[in-house]
Amino acid sequence: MKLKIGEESLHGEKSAQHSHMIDVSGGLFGFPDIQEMELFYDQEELPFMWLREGGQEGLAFIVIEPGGIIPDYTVEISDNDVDYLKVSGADDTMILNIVTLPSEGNSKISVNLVGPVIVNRNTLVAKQCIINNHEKYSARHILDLADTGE
Amino acid sequence: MLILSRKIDQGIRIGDEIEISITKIEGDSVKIGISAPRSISILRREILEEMQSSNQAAAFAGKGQSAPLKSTLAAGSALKLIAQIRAKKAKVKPSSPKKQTISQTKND
Repeated sequence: MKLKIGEESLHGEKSAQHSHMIDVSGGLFGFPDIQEMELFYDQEELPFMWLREGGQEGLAFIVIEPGGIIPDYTVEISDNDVDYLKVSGADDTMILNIVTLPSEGNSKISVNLVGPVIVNRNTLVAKQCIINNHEKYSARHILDLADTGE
Repeated sequence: MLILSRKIDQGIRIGDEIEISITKIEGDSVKIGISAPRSISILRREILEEMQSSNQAAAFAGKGQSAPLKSTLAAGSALKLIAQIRAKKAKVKPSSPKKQTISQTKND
């Protein structure tokens, strides 16, 4: 079944929590050893989701799907990454942008638009890709909807 | 690391398919031309470093398993954002005129 966030509950599932194992052996920058992570979300917490490793000491990221949140965001993936992910178009491609929460010296939530994690919705194989059109975007895009207007 | 001295318009060949040429030298900046197959990824090193540091800043260690996302986000006052995003998404009507046209053509 094709993974579509937020649509699963429409099919009569009782639980609001969903979990999918994602093959990330293609790599996350700075964390080359991670093989598999769980994409976990609670209906109530969308659009924010966890991309997390198993185990107590596991690594975790907060991610979002950019659709409807980041205006005019399009990604161009390199041929190499397309070959690796075996994606054929927008329909079987899921984009997950990693979110950074505020920390010292950083008061806003930011989103990495330069290196999204691209997931094949059918095979659940994923890879963090630096998009070809990365010059147009920021790796620390401030998530502030007040600015985006209508 | 192999270090070579090159002058302007000189080049370096790596393997059978990659060629690097020095096209312009100006002060402390060098313009470099690279010919390589499309399958080879060529990136400024800063971008890779930025991705690594960005991932490290975004990563939680051992937190995702226990902490509910909501409380983690609350620390970043993201709950308000969630509400804003929802309100915004609700306003955007699911528009799929393209798909409709396709299915109509198929039905015909």
